[in-house]
Amino acid sequence: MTVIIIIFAFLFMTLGVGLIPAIRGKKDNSALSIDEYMLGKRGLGVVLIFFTSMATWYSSSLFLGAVAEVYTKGLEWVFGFTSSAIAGLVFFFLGPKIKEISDKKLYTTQADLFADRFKSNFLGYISSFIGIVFMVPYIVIQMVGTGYILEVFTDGKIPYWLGLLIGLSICLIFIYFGGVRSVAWTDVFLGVVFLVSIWAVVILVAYKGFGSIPNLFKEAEQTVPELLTLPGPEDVSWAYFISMAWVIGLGGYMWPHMFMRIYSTDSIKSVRKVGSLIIFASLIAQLPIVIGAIAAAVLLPDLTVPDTALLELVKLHAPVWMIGVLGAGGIAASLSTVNSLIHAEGVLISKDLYSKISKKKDNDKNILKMTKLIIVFISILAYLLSLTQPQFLWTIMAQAYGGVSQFFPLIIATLFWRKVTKEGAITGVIVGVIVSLFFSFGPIEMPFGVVPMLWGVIANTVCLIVVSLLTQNEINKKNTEAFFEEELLGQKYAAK
Amino acid sequence: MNENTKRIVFVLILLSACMTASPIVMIANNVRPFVLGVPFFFFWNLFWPTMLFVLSVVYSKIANDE
Repeated sequence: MTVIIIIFAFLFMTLGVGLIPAIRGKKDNSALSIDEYMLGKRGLGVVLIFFTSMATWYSSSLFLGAVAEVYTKGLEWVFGFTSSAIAGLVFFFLGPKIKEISDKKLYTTQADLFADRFKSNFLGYISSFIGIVFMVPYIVIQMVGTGYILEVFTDGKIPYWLGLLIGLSICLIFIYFGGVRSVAWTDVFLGVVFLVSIWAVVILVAYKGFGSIPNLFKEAEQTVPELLTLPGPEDVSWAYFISMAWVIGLGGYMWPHMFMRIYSTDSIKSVRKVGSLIIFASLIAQLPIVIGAIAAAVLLPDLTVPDTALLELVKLHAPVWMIGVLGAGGIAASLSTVNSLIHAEGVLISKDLYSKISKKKDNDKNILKMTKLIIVFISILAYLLSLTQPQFLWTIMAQAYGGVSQFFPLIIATLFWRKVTKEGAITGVIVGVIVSLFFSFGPIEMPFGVVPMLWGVIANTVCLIVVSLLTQNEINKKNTEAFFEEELLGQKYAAK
Repeated sequence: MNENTKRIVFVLILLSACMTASPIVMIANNVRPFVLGVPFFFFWNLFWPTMLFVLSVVYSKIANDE
């Protein structure tokens, strides 16, 4: 009962925090504008953007999946520290330029940037389509995590279907009424809950079980030494370790919902600060997961479901109420990712597809209404898919980075290479996705141990360069000049 | 002066990233010595992201001052 009370108190607080921005807006009698709903009027500060980026990045896959990975494969998983740090560097170095341009041209989505740079709606549709397709299984997998955590942590008193319904309803209510500002504020709350709960549990277990963290690792050296270096018990290769770090690091901020965070930041200085903090977060958010999983491998070596290793540790070494705290942390990790994804899915479909394909000169009010409707529809769809858990979703999700990481070479070329052409950009993205799929499902699996997604990025880069150099023409030149000329004019205007 | 310092910090950032995201990381694949109470391989993978954080703060200070 204690556990249920703690978890419900946490869920109500999440809803409360999420509704505060919406209630404030109503009190001020300020109608929710489309820019506010989608991007927080491009005025979210360092704290909000940092927490929403961090909390969105670290999902239930960290809370459940990463624990199981370390428990079974050992420190092979620490490429996660490097990949998150590389993602922070991407935000840090590319973010300022993206922010500068997006402020001048008032982009809302990633597709807006590509479509404008290459004067190609088709490229905009491709980038948007890839984002929309891969975000659906991402949402469902996080929701499955929420339902699973609620069921397991309450010993089945909250069944899976009900856990899903509660989690999704809470997210839907505050996203519907508050937009991205509610998403960001709940992410601050959920991020803090996640960090506090996971660190509290891990420190408690390490001290009760071993006396200190150094003692834990000394014990691990005696009992599970194979977990402390590569290749580990499952013979993980260095090529896999290094290529995973790069592909996840370079692709992380290419997810549409993460990319839009750059637009939402209030200034270029804030973008740099957030970039640095994201690098720091790679340590504070993941370190306790690794320590906890190693502790579980030493203390509970025969777990059949290693996903629940942290829960089993808490049952063994902590008071009952700590189970509730840990459960709240796990749900925080899931919901903080789901809310951003559902919001971004609504924005992408309404802004990139509905308003462009329908070719209606809809006013902002109607687009906002449509965005909210799509958010409701996506939530219902996510609920139904989470209940049935169709296998194809996992197959799509496994290919997600093969899709989104293809935007990394394109972004670099868009911002810094004047010779890139529309044809080069489109060919690069399509070839990149095909190569990634080929090495995932084709007859040749992971050449040289390098993950398929990275082969896709390499093929994409080569095609982008070669095709761009072969398709230099006046139209492309004009488009490029127009894009950078406008940028230059903007800079002069800003300087004045 | 600032531009040069920025360039140096940028190169240091790239080098730090390569310490864990290139084959260089293989030289750290040992349990011993323990550093700060954790195995050497684990320490190595914590140390370089920490360096990246510090260097990015320095870089951002220079860039924001410009």
